[in-house]
Amino acid sequence: MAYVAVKGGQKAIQNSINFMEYNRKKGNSPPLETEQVKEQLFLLIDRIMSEGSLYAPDLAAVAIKQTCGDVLEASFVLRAYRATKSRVGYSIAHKTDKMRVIRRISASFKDVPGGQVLGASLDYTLRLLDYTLVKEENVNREAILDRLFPDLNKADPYPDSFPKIVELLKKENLIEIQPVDSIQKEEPFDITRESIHFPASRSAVLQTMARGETGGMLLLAYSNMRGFGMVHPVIGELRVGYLPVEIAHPYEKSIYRVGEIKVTEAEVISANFSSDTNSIPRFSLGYGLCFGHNETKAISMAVLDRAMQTSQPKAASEDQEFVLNHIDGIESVGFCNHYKLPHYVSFQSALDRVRFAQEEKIKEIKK
Amino acid sequence: MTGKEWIMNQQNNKQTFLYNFAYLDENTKKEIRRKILKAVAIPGYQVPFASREMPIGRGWGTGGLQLTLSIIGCADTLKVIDQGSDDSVNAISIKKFIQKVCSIPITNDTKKATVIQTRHRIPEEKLEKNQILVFQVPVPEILRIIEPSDQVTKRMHAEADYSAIWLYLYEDIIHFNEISIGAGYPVMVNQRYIMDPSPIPRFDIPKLNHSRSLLLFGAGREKRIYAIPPFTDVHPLEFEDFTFRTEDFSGKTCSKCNASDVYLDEIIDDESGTRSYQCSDTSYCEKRCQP
Amino acid sequence: MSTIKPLLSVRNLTKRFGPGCEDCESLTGPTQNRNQCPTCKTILGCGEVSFDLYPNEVLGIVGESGSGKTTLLRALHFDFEVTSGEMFFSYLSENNELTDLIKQIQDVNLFTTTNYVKRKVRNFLTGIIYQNPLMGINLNISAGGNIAEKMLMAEWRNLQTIRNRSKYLFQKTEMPLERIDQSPKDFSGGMQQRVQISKALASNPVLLFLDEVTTGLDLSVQAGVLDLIRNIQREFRFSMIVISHDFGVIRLLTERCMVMKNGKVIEHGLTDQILEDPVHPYTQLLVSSQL
Repeated sequence: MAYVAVKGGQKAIQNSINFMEYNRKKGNSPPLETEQVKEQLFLLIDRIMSEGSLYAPDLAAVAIKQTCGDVLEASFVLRAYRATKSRVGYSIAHKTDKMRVIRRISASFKDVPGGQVLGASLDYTLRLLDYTLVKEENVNREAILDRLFPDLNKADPYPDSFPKIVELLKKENLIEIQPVDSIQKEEPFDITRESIHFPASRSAVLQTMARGETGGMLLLAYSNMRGFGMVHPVIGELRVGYLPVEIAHPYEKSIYRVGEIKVTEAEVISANFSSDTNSIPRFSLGYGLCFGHNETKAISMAVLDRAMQTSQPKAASEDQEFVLNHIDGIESVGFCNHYKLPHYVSFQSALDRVRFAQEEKIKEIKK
Repeated sequence: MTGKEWIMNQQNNKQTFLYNFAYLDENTKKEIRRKILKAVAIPGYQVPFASREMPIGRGWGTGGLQLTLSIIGCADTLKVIDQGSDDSVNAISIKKFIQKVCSIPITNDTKKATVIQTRHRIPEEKLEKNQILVFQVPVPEILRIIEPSDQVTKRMHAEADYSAIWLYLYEDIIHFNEISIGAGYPVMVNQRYIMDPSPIPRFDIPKLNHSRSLLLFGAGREKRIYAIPPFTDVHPLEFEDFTFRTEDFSGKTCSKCNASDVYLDEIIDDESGTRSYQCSDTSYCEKRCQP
Repeated sequence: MSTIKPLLSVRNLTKRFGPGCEDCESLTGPTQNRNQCPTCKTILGCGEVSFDLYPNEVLGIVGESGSGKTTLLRALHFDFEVTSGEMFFSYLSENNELTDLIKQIQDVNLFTTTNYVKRKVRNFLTGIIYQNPLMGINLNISAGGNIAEKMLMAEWRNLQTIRNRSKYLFQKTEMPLERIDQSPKDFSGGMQQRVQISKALASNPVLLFLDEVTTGLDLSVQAGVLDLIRNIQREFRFSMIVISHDFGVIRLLTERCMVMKNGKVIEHGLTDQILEDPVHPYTQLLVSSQL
C-alpha cells in the first residue's frame, strides 16, 4: 500500500527524518566540528557558497554537516537561508586588476607581465591515493611550513597587484571590447528580485551563471569545446584571489570596506575570429567569475558566456534560454526529486485516457 | 501582527527562531501581493515574479507556498492537501513549516479553512466567497507540450496564437480517437488566455468555471503567478463534436463512505489483486463516515 | 471599377534591411541599378510601393531575383515589420463571425496595428503558398493535420466540418485520399505543394498570396499545379497576389501586373498589355528574353 494513502503518514515522515539524524550520529567517531569542515574541506565550502550564492564560510560548514555532505542539498540550505534576507543595497563594482592574488596563470603567453603564479592547486598532483592520510599526525602550522617549505623566504610576499593580460590584448585592439566593462555604470539586473526574461541582459546572464551548478555548467561548456559549438578556448588569464567588498554610505556617500571575498576569475579568449563580418577580424572574450576557489566553474562559465554571444545559436550551449534555464542546481535537483512525490491523481487521469483509447482501438479492429 | 511583533513574541517565548512572521520578509510579501493583483486583473495571464528559494524543494510546492505565506494573516485558518489528502508527505511538510513560521490554526475541514493550499486537487465540498484556493503548479506553461522556448510561448500568448495546441488535440483524436492529455487539461480563461490548471484531474476542471472563491496559481521554480478571479468563464478546450470528457468512474463507489459522485483513487489489494476505490478527498470521506 | 471599393490598399510600402542613412534614398533603386546602399550597406527590400487590389482580382508581380517582389509579399503577410507605409483591408462579409474583426480593422493601417490583430487578419482573411512547401507545412504532423491547422487558426471548432473540408480539398487537389493521415515527409515535392495549397485555401481566405509556387517543381508537374490554382480561383472567387519571375505564370494566372526592379515598381498595367507592348526598357528586355 502506498505510503501516502495510509493514515499516520505524519508519524512515518517524522521517523524518516529522525532516522537520517541517527545515521549521521551513530558512528563511533566524535561529531564533526564545523571548524574542521571549514578549514580542511575548503574547496567544498567554496563550491557550496558559490552554488548557494551566499558568501558565508561558517554557514556553509553547518550546511555541509547538516546534509551529510550532499553538495546540492547543502547549497540549497544556504540558498534558502539567503532568500530570507532583505536586500539592503548593492556593493560597489570592482575591476579585478586590484585583486589580492593567490594564484594566477595564463595559457596564452609563456612569459606574462607579473609572471605565472601557481599558488596552491591540485592540478599538479598525481591522483594516487595517499594512505598516509588514514592516520595523520596532529602537528602545528610552523612545523608543517618547515617540513614543506624548508627554504621559504618569508619576507618575499606577492606584489600588490598584477597587470591584466586581457587588457594588454585589448590595447592592441586584438580583442572585442565586451559590454562587461559597462556593467558598473548601470544598476545591475537583480535575478533575485526580478524574474529573468529572454533575451537576458548581460548582468542577468553572468549572475545566473555565477550561482550555477558546477557539474551542469561543465557539461554544457564541455559539449561546446568538444564540437557542439564554436568556442576554441584559450585561457587568457585565470586568477584566484581576494576582492574587497565595499558599500557606499546611503547619506554620507563615503565608501566603507566591509570585508573581502575569495573569487576565481577566468577570461577565456576564443581563438576564432569574431563573427561580426563588418568589423575588423578580432578575437573575442568570455568572462567567468564565481565565489571561492573553483576553477572548473569559472572556466566553464567563461566558455558559456562566449558561446551565448553567438548570434545564430545552433548548439545547446549557445542558446541563452537553454543554458540559463537549466544550470541552477537548486532548481534542477528539486524538480528531479519532486517526481518521488505521489502522483496518483494525475496518473489515475492518464490511466482513464489510455484505457478508453485502448477500448476504442479494439472496437475499431473488431469492425 | 507585524514582522517585528512576531519576532518579539518569539523571543519572549525564549525561542531562537529568527524568521519573520510567515517566513518571507515584508518586502517580498508586498512584491508577491502586487503580482497577485496583476494576475487577478488579467485572468489566466502568467505574471513573472522573482521567486525566492524556500526551505522545501523546488518543485515541491514552493510557488504555492510563497503565495500562501504572502496572503496569510493571524486570523486565517489553513488547510493543506496533496492529491486530495490532508495526510500525504507534501501536505505534511508544508503544514509543519507554515505552523512553525506563523502558528495559525490548521484544519482538515474544507468548510472551516479560509486559505487552502492544494497540490493536484480541488476539494469535493463547494468553496465559498471567503475562501482562497492556492494551487501548486509544477509547469505553468501549457504551451510547453508543443514549444520549449519561453520567448516563443510568450509571443504566442500575446497574439493568442493557439492553433498549435488545438492541432495537438486534433492529431490525438485522429490517431487515437481520444485525447492523450490526462490531468492538467488546457482551459481557456475569460475568452483570452489558454491556461494550465495545474495537474488537477479533468474531474475538477468544471469547478474552475464561475468559481465563487478566488483561485491563485503559483509556480516557484518557473517563477510565475496566475489567477482566476471569482465568477470568471473557464472552459476546457473542446470541439463541438468531440466534447470534453472527465474521468469515468461510472458504477464505482468509495469503499469507505459509499460516495459515487467524487474523484476516486484506485487501490489494488496486496493479496487478492482485486481493485477497490476510495475518495481522493480524505477529509470529505471522513466527514461522510462520521455518524 | 471606380465604384467598387478595393479589398486591399497599399501605400508607400518601404522595407529596408539595415540601419539606413541619408544616402539610401538617392543611391538605391532602378535608376542606380542597385539595391544596396554603398554608404551604410543597408539593403532596400522594396521602396514606395503603392497599389490597390479589388475583390476577385488576380494581381501579378514580376521581376528577376532580388527585385523585391518576395519582400513585398512577406510584408503583406506580416512576416516582419515594415520600415514605413500603410495597408488597409476593407472586406464586406456576410460572415457574422468576422464582423468584430472587420470593424476592428476598418480604416486602420494594419502595418502599425498590434501583432494580435495582424495575426487575426492573417488567420481569418488570408492564406499564403510559399515557393518551398516546407515553409508552409509541418512534416511532423499528418497531411490532414496540416490542412486542419489553417481551419483551427480561423477558429473552426467542429471536427466533422474540418475533416470533411480537408478531404474535399484533398480530392480537389487530386491527392489520393488514403494518404490524408500520413505525414507529408514521404510525399513528392509536387504532392507537398498540393498539401500546402489545400492548407492555404482551407479556411476560405478572401486573399491568397502565391510566392513562386511552381519554381521548385518539375516542368511536367508545374502545368498541373497552375491549372489547379486557376480553376480553384475561378470556382471560389478570392483575390490573389501572384509573385513570379516567369511571365508564363503571370500570363496564365493574372489580369493585372506590376514589374519590379531593384525594390521599386517600374511599370504596371493590364497583363496582356504589358506583354504586348512593354514601355519600360527593362520590361521590354524581360519580355523579349522570356517569350
